[in-house]
Amino acid sequence: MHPLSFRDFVKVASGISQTDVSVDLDGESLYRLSSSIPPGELSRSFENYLISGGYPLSVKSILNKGYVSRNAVDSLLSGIKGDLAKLNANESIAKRVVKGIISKVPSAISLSSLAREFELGSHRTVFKYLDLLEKLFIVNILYFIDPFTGSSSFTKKQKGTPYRPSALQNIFRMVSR
Amino acid sequence: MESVVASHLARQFETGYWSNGREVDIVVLNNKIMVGFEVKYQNNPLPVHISAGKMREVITLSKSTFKEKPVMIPASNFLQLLDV
Repeated sequence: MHPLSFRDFVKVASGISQTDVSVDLDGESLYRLSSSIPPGELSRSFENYLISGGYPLSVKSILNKGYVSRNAVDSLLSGIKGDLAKLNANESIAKRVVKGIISKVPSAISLSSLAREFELGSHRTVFKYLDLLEKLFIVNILYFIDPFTGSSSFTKKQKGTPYRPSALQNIFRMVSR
Repeated sequence: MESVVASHLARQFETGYWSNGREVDIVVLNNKIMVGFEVKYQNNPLPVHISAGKMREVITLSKSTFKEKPVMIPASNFLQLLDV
C-alpha cells in the first residue's frame, strides 16, 4: 500500500493536475521553482497531508470530514497486520521494531543496540524486520553515506525513519490501548 | 518531518545520511551528484552551510522561510515539486 506523495495529495485535494517540471536537485533551480509558488498556498494542504500520512483511506477521510476517522486507522492497521501474516512475520516483533525506531527518531542507531534494548534477539532479526517493514512502506532506512567516496556503509549506525510518523503514531495509540 | 522528506526522496534517489561531528539529515546521490538536505521545520530557522567531499551543497527545508544563499525553501514547496 504505497502512500500518496504530497504532489499526488495536492492533485487529489485540489482536483488540479500539476504541471510537470523537471527538477534538478541543485539549490539555485529549487529556489527559483519554489519561489514561484505563492507563499502559504500549500501550508494547509501540507498540514492535512502530514496528518493523513498519505494513506488512501486517511486521505479520503481528512478531505471529506476534516479528520482521520477511526475506520480509516482500523483499515490501515488491518492492512499492515494482513501483510505481516502473508509474509509469515511475527507481529509482535514487527511492533517492537517500529516502536524502537519511533523512540530513537531522529537519531542514528545500530542494529545490535536496537536488538539489545528492545529484546529482539540478534541484529539479524532486526535487519530482517527492517527490510520487511521498508518493503511494506512502514519505515525508511537511511544508511551512512561517505561524502568523500560516495559509498554507503551498512556497518555504521543507521537511521530508521517511520514512513509516515503521524499515521503510525495513530496506529500505535490504538495498539497500546 | 525528516522522515516524510526522506521517504519522498527515496522513491527516486539513493538516500542516506552523513554524520561526522556535524550531521546532514538526508544525503542524496543522483548521477554521481551528491546533495544534502537538512530539515528544520520551525519558525525562523538558520540555514545550514556545510560542504564535505562530493557534497558541495546542503539545502535547508524550512516550515515557511525562503533564503537564497545558502538555499532555504519550505519543505511543502520542495515536496510539491518532486514528481514521485
